[in-house]
Amino acid sequence: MSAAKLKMIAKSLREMEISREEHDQPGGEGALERRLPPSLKRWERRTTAFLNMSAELNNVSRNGSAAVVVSATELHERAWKAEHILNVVLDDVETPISARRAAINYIGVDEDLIASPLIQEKLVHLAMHHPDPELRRTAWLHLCRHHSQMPLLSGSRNGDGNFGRERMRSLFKEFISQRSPLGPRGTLLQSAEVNREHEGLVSELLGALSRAEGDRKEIALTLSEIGGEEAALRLTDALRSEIEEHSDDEDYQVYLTSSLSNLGGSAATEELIRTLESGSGRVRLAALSGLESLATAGSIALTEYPEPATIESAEMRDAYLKLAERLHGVIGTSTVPPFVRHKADELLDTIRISLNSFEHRSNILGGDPSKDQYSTLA
Amino acid sequence: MRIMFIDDERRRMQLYVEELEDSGHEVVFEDDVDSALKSLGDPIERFDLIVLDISMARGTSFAFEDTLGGSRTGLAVYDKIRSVRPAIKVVAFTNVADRRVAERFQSEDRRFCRFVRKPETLPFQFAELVGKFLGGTE
Repeated sequence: MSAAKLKMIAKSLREMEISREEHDQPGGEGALERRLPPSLKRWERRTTAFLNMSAELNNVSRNGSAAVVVSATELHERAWKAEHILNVVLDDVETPISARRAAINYIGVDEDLIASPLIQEKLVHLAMHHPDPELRRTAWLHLCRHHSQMPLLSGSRNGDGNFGRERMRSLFKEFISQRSPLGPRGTLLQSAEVNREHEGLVSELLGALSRAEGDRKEIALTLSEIGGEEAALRLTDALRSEIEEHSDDEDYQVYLTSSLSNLGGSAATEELIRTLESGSGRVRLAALSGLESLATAGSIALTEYPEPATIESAEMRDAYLKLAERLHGVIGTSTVPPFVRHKADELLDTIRISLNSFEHRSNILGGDPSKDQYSTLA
Repeated sequence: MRIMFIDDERRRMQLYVEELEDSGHEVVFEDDVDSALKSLGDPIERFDLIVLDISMARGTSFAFEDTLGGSRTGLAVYDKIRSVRPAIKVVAFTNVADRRVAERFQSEDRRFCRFVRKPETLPFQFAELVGKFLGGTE
């Protein structure tokens, strides 16, 4: 009896696996949805079907032989995988966010699954279009981590085409000429506002990055000229993935750092600080340069020497304080290269001047900032 | 024994909960991280073991970046658990095959922590494992 049940479950799972494999072959698009039994197409019935499968496997193996237990466990794993795949690839509005997120996180760390064209396509779709912003970001994060693990493809990402180097550079020049080119668009605290006139293009560029299409360095830079908070979050995740996965595309990391330095905002600032703490030498310096630009409101672009920025609010002061504390930590870390620590120390001096100036003005105006709050930074 | 089961997929876990209950344990299911942490922070609430999912909604207790988009929420929860209940037994129970997560839990003191993967573990096997862990025989 148990053998027959196991055989039936194995047959169902094999059919699903074949459909997915077929979809991934050229000309096989849509195979999975076409061949899937109706009972599996909607979440409610799909979950019931897989729960029943689990219950069956559990019952069959509870008092079964060792061989039965082994078979049942293997089928249990395959069923789990199949269910998660379906929860990602099916455009089923009933699927709750928790189930989709679990499925994305399951697939995201499986190198074979995430490399599947079907799954890539669906993850890109989720990253760009799912109504829940956090789920979009989760899908995006896994795509970034996957791309960062891919070997560098010399030349293939830089060519012509809609998202190639030439077009991106041309767009970048056009956008930068439309505003004052000096200084970042955002601040330490606040991301740049999205350029409403080019909102559609922002979406296109993010889509291209999610598909690892075109020249991603130039795409990131172009995004920094028209994007807003969402672009900043996406590029933050991309940079974090590149560093945590020890990607060998240092050029891309430098471009991402420059882009975040332009966009600004608290997430971008935090990522620049983390990059300063843990990136490669060249990338750390780029992060430091970016933080300098944000902290001095771009004065370095005008004067070639960082002028202290004027802090205009308690909130901004807190952001500068936090940056100062982190710089202090970097300077005190012996594993950080000496030249990075030296430059961080210079930036810290500039920030101290801004903070002291704020304190001085607050005192004159009758505020009550703690006089000692900067003493730990000496 | 009293077990807290923290997982945001209540329905998916029902078989595992039933097996634990059939084994004689009382199971308190928490599908919300914030609520789970609140209960664990209450010294009146007694638990003998926590079953902890890894990939789940982060609630308001953690930032997106700290949980890697929810894929490592359980890691952050675990650290908080240890800060309030240093000697409570925890089974990290996950469907995610993240090597770094596995290494983290496998490096913990085995008297108090186990790492178990859901796909590889049938419900009745899970109940047996929990029973042995609680009894100190596994």
